Amino acid sequence: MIAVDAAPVLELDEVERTFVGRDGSEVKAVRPSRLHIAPGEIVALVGESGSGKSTLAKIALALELPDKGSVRLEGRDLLRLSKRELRRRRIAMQPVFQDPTAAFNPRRSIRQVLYEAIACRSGHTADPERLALEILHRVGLTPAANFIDRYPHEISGGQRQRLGIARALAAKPKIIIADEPLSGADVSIRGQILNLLLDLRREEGLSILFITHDISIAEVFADRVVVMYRGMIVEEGPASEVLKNPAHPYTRLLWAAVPHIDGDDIEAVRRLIIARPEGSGCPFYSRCVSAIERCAQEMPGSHSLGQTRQYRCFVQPQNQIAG
Amino acid sequence: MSAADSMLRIRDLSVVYEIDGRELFAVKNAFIDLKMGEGVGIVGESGSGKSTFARAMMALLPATNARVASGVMEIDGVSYDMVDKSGMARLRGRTFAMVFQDPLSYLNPLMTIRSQIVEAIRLNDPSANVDHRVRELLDLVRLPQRCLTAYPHELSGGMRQRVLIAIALGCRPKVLIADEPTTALDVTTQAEILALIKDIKREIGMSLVLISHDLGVVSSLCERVFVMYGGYTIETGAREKILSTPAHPYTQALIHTARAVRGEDGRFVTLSGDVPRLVEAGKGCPFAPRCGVAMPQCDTVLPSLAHVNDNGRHSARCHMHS
Ligand SMILES: Nc1ncnc2c1ncn2[C@@H]1O[C@H](COP(=O)(O)OP(=O)(O)OP(=O)(O)O)[C@@H](O)[C@H]1O
Ligand SMILES: Nc1ncnc2c1ncn2[C@@H]1O[C@H](COP(=O)(O)OP(=O)(O)OP(=O)(O)O)[C@@H](O)[C@H]1O
Ligand SMILES: [Mg+2]
Ligand SMILES: [Mg+2]
Repeated sequence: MIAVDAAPVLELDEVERTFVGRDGSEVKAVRPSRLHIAPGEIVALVGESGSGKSTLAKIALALELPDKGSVRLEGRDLLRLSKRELRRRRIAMQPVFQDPTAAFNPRRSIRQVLYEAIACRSGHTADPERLALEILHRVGLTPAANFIDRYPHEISGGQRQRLGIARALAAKPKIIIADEPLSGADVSIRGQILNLLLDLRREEGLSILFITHDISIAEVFADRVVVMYRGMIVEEGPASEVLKNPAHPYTRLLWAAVPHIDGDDIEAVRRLIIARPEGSGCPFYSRCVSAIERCAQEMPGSHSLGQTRQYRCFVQPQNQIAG
Repeated sequence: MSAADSMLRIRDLSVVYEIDGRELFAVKNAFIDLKMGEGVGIVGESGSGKSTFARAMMALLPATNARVASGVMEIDGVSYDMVDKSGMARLRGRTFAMVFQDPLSYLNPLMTIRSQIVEAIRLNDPSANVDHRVRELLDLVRLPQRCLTAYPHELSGGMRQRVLIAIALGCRPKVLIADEPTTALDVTTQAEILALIKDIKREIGMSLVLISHDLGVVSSLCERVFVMYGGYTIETGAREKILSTPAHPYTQALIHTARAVRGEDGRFVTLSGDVPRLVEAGKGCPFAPRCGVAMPQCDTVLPSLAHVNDNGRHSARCHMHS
């Protein structure tokens, strides 16, 4: 399914971004990070609010410039391209945003939205109407002819979320970067959107960077999981292994915090919640139940676990508190 | 459940919205029972009428196009007609207080946190020892003193939700109604807030009505569950019964899809079809169009509420059980 050895579609290397607040305080939104995505691969980027997921996604989309590091799309360094060339290349990478209502201009019909995206394709599209109808059909907005002349506010929230995906598809991308596409969606819509994305990967070989704070969805949906905390990638590896057997205390906390319908989860997660003063070392120190003295002063380096996994923690996985 | 057990009973609640000159039901013959100190959950998909139910309890329905068509509420043995909005409004604060999904839109951006908490305390008890109560409430929701001088936008989402809970508790309500209190939060903050509500409930013996589309959230705090669909209460029972032996096909589907799971074909299990739109009081079961086991009568006859088992404490509105 995934061509592991193929050259990555998207390569972020040593990218970092620091914001300076109005009061002069610095926020390290993204600390030096590496993220590679292979053709047809689904990567989930998980972490709580403020961990830097959207900033990393915007850097990937070249909507936000990193302070340092490089962004390559299909081997080309985006940060070195002219504005025009960047606009052309960037089409291979399409965003899907969290809030489908805010993502559309209310005065543009679905037809206009899709035609505009189709116009981004390289080369001339002979019959944009046919293509637009085909895409609507593709995302399950059927019968497509009933939808094409409506406006985004005239369809339901779940349908708008599909329209967001339809718009991304219309540009014929190689990779979709979806920032919390399920937030606010209830169970019926959630399954439909995830199935649609799986189909697109299978049929069109699309890569997907999927951003979520819900690690339980990452586990079942993604091939690989990347866990971020306050700008730092604390752990990454194959979804099935990372979540069955986390190697970082923060991954354990995220996993325990998912409310399950069986068992008393609040009590389980309580054992993993603490607060202590910040240190100058690991950003997770102030909330880590497994921390040792060293964590307060030093930034942990990256350790490998087998061939495919990496984590950043001084405490070995078997010595971390499991909760 | 007998009337004696419950401190709060709502029966036959129906609420209509006027849309394009037509009155459409968002809540229909819905009900709830709540014992002292108990937590009950209202679950259902988007549009099932959960928030409308809560707003009817709080007399906070939009005045422009909403109307309580029927409903009786008994609280501590006293009966109220829910159609009487001003009578219901008097219960707000002392009896019911509410927290919402989006705290920012219920906090005043121009007032400090302290002033907003003080306002809630005074509303209920003009002669209260304000400093003492503020400190008490802050401890209860585990917020540091320094938050008092802050404005809402200076706080994180989780802290704002704590403030909203403090304000709600400022009136010493008998029942806290929490409408999707953690939906806008990430999972770790959600876990903290749920743990907090659980502790407060125990510490002050408060009763809780928790509304959520997430069965996981509801089952972590509630002893009993009311499932809503298309405005109707379609099933109710003890949490364990609902989770282990759900009687209504909709509840079964809800449990089956509560966590994202993939079937043998690798695809995510979904509940097919769209959530019901508002309709003029229909005849049949609102779930019939999406139901895998629907029978001919389901399209035409509304099933009545029938006991399933558990000594009459577990009931469902489904022809398979009537
Ligand atoms: N333009 C900006 N100016 C200043 N600070 C910013 C800016 N954008 C982001 N930040 C800060 O950078 C950090 C990371 O933010 P980011 O939006 O990337 O997080 P996130 O993981 O996407 O969070 P969420 O789950 O809430 O969307 C936060 O502390 C945020 O406040
Ligand atoms: N002010 C209003 N005017 C007209 N219709 C409304 C109004 N508020 C809600 N509705 C409709 O009433 C129905 C029930 O809405 P309600 O908000 O009670 O559902 P809910 O179960 O809380 O959903 P959610 O999970 O999305 O919050 C929906 O079909 C909704 O569109
Ligand atoms: Mg974000
Ligand atoms: Mg609601």
